[in-house]
Amino acid sequence: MKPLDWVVLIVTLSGIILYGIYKSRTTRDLDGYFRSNRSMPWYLILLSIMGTQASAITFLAAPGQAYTDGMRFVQYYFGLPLAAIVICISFVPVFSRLKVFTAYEYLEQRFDLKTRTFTSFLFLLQRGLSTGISIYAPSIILSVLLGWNIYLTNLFMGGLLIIYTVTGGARAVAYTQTFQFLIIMGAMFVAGYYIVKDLPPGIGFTDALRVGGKLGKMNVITTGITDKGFDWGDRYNIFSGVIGGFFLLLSYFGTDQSQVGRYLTARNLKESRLGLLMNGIVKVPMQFLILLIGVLVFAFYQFNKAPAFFNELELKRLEQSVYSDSLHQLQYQLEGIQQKKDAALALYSSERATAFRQLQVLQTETESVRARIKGLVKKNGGADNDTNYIFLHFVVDYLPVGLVGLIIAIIFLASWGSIAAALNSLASSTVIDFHKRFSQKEQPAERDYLVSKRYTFLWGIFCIAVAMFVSNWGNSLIEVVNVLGSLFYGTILGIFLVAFYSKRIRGNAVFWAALIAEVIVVVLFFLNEYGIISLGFLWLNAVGALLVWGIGYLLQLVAPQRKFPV
Amino acid sequence: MNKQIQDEEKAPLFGSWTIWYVLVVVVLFLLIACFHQITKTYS
Repeated sequence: MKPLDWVVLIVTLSGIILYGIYKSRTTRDLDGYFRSNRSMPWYLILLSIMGTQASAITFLAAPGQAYTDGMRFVQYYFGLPLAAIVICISFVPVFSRLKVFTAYEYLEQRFDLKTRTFTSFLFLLQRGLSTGISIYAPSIILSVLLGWNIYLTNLFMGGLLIIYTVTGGARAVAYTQTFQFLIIMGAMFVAGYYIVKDLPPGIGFTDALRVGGKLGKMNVITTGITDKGFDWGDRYNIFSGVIGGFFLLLSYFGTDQSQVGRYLTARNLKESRLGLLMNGIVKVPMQFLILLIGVLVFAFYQFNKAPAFFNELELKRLEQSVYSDSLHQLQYQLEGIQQKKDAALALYSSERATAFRQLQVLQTETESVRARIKGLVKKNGGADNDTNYIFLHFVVDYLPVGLVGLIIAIIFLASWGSIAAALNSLASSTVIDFHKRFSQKEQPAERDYLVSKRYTFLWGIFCIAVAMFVSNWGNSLIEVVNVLGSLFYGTILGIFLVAFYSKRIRGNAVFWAALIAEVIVVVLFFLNEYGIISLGFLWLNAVGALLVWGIGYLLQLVAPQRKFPV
Repeated sequence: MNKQIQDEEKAPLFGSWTIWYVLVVVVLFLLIACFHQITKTYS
C-alpha cells in the first residue's frame, strides 16, 4: 500500500468510529443499549439488516467464490424474499406486541423455560463461532499486507473491535452500519468499473462475461439435475436455494438474535416490516453484483498472468521449502499455459468459437496445475484454500492508489458492522436469557447497562479465540459461515415454527424433539462429510425444522399428558 | 389509542400488506427469469 492508501484507510476508519461514538448517546439502560429505545425508521432497519448480514466475508469471499465456482452461489439467496414475507406475517407482529428484548423470551411464554434456554444456547454457540470467523476474515488482509502473523493479527483486529463494540450499543451499530454500507456499495461499484477499464483494448464488459461464461462462471441458474436424477449433494441449485435457502434464511432473519435485534429497534411494526421486505427486494440483486465482480476478476486474469497461488504468505513458505523445485516446475507450466491463452485470445475478435474451445481446454489444464500447487501447499503444512485471497490480491495489485486504501477500509467497515451487531446480540441473549433470567435479582438500570457491556467484552474474547482456528475450514469463509449456521438453524427454526403454527404441541414435546433433531442433523452432516451419504448443507435447514415438527407432533400424540424427564 | 396502533401498522403506498408481499414475490420471479436468460446467453 502507498502512503495515500494509508491516509484513506485511517481517515475512513477513524471517521466511522467517531461517528459511531457520536451516535451512541442513548439512555444508560437495557432498552437503550440493546433496543436503541425503539426509535429507528425503516431505512435504517433495512441498512442495519443488510450491514449485519454483509460482513467482510461477503466482500472478500463472495468474489472468490464466483471466481472458483461461478455465479451459482446467488441461488442461495432466492429463499430470502419468501422468508421475509413469512417473518412479516408471523414473527414480527408477535415480537413487536410482546416488546421482547430477544426472540427467545417469547419461547418461555409459549412453551417453557428449558425450551427458551436450549434455543438461546444453540444461538449463542452458533453465533459465537460464526463471529469468530468474521473476525478472522479481515485479519487475512492485515496479515497479507503487512506480513504479520495471522494469530497476532486476529488479536489486534479483535481488540479494536471489542473497544468499538462495547462502547457502541445497538444505536451506534445501526447508524454506523448505514454509513458503512453506503461507502461499501460505492467502493465495490468503482472496483467493478476499474476491472472492466483494465481489460485489454477492444474487450468490454459483455466480452468479459462471455469469456467467464464459456469457462463455466456464468452459471447463475442451475438445476442440480444430472443423468442419474437430482443430485442431493449439489450445494447450490435453484431447488436447494429456494427451499433450503428459505429455511436457512427464515431461521436467520426470524430467530437469530443478531438480526431480530436489528428490527426490534424499529419505532413500530410498520417500520420493521418495511425494512425486512425492502431487504427481500434488494438483497438478491446486490449479491448478484458482488458475485459478478468475481467473474470479472476471473475474466481479467484470462488476459493477465494470475498468481500460481493467491495466498502469498503460503507461496513464500513453499518457495523456501523442500518443494520449491516442484513449485517452480508447476509455475513454469502455468506460464506456458498463459502464453497459449494469449494466443487463443488473440483469435477472439476473428474466430471467437475457436478461441473459446482453446480457452476451455487451457482452463482445464490451469485448474489441474493449480490443484497440484494446492497439494504442495498442503504437504508443506499450509492452508491450501486461497479462495478468500483472490479479490484482495487483485485489489492490491491492480487498483489505483487511494482506491486500494478505500477497498481495504470497506472490508474493515463491513466486518466491524456485522461483528458489532453479533456481539451486541450475543450479549443481549446472555444478559436477558441467562443472567437476568436466572439471577432473579432486580438491579438498577445503570448496573444492568454495565453488566451488558461486560458480557459484550467477554464474547469478544471468545470470538477472538475462535478466530485462531478457522484458517483452513471449508472452501471459502462465506461457505463455512453458512454450513455452520445450517447445523443449528433448522432446529431453532423448527421450534419457532411449532410455536407459531402448531398450538397442539407443548413445551416438553418440542424440547425433546429439538434435542433429537439436533443430534440427527449433526449425524447427517458428518455422514456427508465422510462420504457415506450425499446431502448438500442447505438441506440440513429443512431437515432440522421438519424433524422438530414431526418428532414433536409424534411425542405429543404418543404421550399428550406425560411429563417428559427434564 | 387503537387508531394510533392501526395507523402505525397500516401498509404505506398500497394500503395493504398483501400487495407488498405479492410485489416481493413478483420481483423474485422476474429476477430468476432474468438470471435464467443471462445463464442461457453467456454459458
